[in-house]
Amino acid sequence: MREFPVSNLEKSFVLSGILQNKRLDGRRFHEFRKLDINFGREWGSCMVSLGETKVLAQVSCNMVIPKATRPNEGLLFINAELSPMASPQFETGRQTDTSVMINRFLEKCFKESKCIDLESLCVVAEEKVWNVRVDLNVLNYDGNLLGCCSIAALAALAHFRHPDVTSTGDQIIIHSAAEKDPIPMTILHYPVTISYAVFNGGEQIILDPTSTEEGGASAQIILAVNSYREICGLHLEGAALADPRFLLSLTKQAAETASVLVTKLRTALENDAKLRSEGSTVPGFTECIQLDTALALSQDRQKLGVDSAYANLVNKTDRILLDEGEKDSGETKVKVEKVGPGIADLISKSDIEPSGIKNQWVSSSDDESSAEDDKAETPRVQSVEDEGDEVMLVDSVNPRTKVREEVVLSGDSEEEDTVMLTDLTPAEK
Amino acid sequence: MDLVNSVVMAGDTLSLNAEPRLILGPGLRRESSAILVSQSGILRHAKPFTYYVDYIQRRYVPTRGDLVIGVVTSRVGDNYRVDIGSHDPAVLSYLAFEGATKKNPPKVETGDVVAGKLLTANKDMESEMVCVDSRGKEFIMGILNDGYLLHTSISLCRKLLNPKCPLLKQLAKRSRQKMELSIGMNGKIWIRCESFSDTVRVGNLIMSCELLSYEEILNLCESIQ
Repeated sequence: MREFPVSNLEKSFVLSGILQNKRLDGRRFHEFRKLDINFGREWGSCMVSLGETKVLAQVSCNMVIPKATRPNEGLLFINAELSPMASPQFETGRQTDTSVMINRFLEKCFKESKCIDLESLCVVAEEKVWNVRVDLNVLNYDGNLLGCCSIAALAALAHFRHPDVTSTGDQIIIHSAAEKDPIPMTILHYPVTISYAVFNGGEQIILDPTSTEEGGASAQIILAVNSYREICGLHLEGAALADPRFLLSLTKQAAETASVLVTKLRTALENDAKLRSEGSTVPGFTECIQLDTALALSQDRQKLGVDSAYANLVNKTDRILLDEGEKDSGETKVKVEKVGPGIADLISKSDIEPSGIKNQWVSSSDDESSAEDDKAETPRVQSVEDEGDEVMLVDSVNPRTKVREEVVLSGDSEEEDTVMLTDLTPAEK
Repeated sequence: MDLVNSVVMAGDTLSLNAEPRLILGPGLRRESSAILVSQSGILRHAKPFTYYVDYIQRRYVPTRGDLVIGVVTSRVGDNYRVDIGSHDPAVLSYLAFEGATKKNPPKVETGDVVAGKLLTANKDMESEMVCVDSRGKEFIMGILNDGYLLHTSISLCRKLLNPKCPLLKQLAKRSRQKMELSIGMNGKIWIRCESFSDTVRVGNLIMSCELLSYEEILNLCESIQ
């Protein structure tokens, strides 16, 4: 791959903005770009756009002989294609570091977290299994490629249906869609990839970086989290010194983001299923082409954000806001609900109302007060009685806040041990 | 020529033979005796003999004499490689800066942004870039510091540089702060204002003009301040 041409002045410009708590496109640090999920007419085809990053995914399957080591499991293969159409930095033909990284990360994320039930893809053990292949074509590149690819792959897999088969002793008949309804994939949970760019040695962290921001960042942290707040993958790129607790707080934020994204994905899937069950024709990809504009496929060509006076220049898109629930930051309320006999499901509050966690790493002057509030609160363990069932809850989340300057805590704090982080300058000492 | 100001497609043949003299601009090409359109767009005529195609494109095709802005990607021997958005990077000699000698080389680092003119532009060779004019002065060229680099389309740059375009005049008239702007013909615009948000605002204003007509740009400028 050619070196990505992010110039020094762009890097320093992005950094200078980040230091002033501003991002180039006017987003806040923990704001996602607008996520669009469009399904095609075929099963398993979808186009996902995250801002100007666009990925087209298509799932296909064929019958193969399984691996000798896993005779009753189907195969899953993910292939990401980076063409020069997406960005001039990509070259055709050979595999590049980026595409290898994407393939490997997604395969790890989907296979090792066992989100796809591969055993359900088995037709005859040791003889015939389905080989599912996900082809990801990057149509346009503007940062957070892995995040976009993972959502596209997951959406396509969730949308995909493989043909039904019947076995007549020694023969296997693969039915066409007209004969028997194709069977959807069994997806046990939905892992999505959330990427963060780290600036200024871990002081500033931004969600969903664009390509310029990625170029200017000192490190990138890519997390795969599912809606049950489980981490399914972690990738670190670059180098930055950071507080060890910072990763923990980041995973918490990622979990919030993941649940919002998964909800969005589920709604898109439900809408598509509804359209298809009604028997009306599915619009397919034609839906994402906007008419009466020269930029037919573009969401928002405005790459730079604006404030107040120029606000009329930008059509505010409904970006996913993760910043609304600032009041209850630091503490996550988790409820355990009984789903069936012996099964419980952790439902975090954010499933219902998307609440995000404010960046605790930026300590601007107005953050201090809220930081104090966080400190004064005690971690609450909520236990939910479920009709006398012995389902117990479990998740107690301790808010860890970095307080940069001395915070005087009142004596009636219920917190058992208070850790105070003070950074005194030598002059003060 | 009745095709002027109408849409032409790549591969069309034009019959401009009636003209006494012809200058072919971007998007037109001579193949033996025929004139071929190589870009889809609107055919324009500039008096007296120039014909060109107005097209929207982001990939730059080097043309001799263009002022371009690029990013230094590496240093190879005595030359720098500069990414100007074309198929091949341009070559910039370290002696092609104002006052540069072998003993006094310019301070250029990888990732720096330079503005320069294309000395040669050939379809089969790397183009050569210089940061001095024929008198050895930098004038408006050289290394650009601070500010921000916008990556836009070539048509937007052409539009802004068109003397009829009101945007730059309005910016000069209305802005209350100091501002520097450099437009490369390769779709790169460098802006430097006094603060971060001003740079973003100006950048945003420029980007939003991409598909507007001159009157609309004028209205936009008036609506802002």
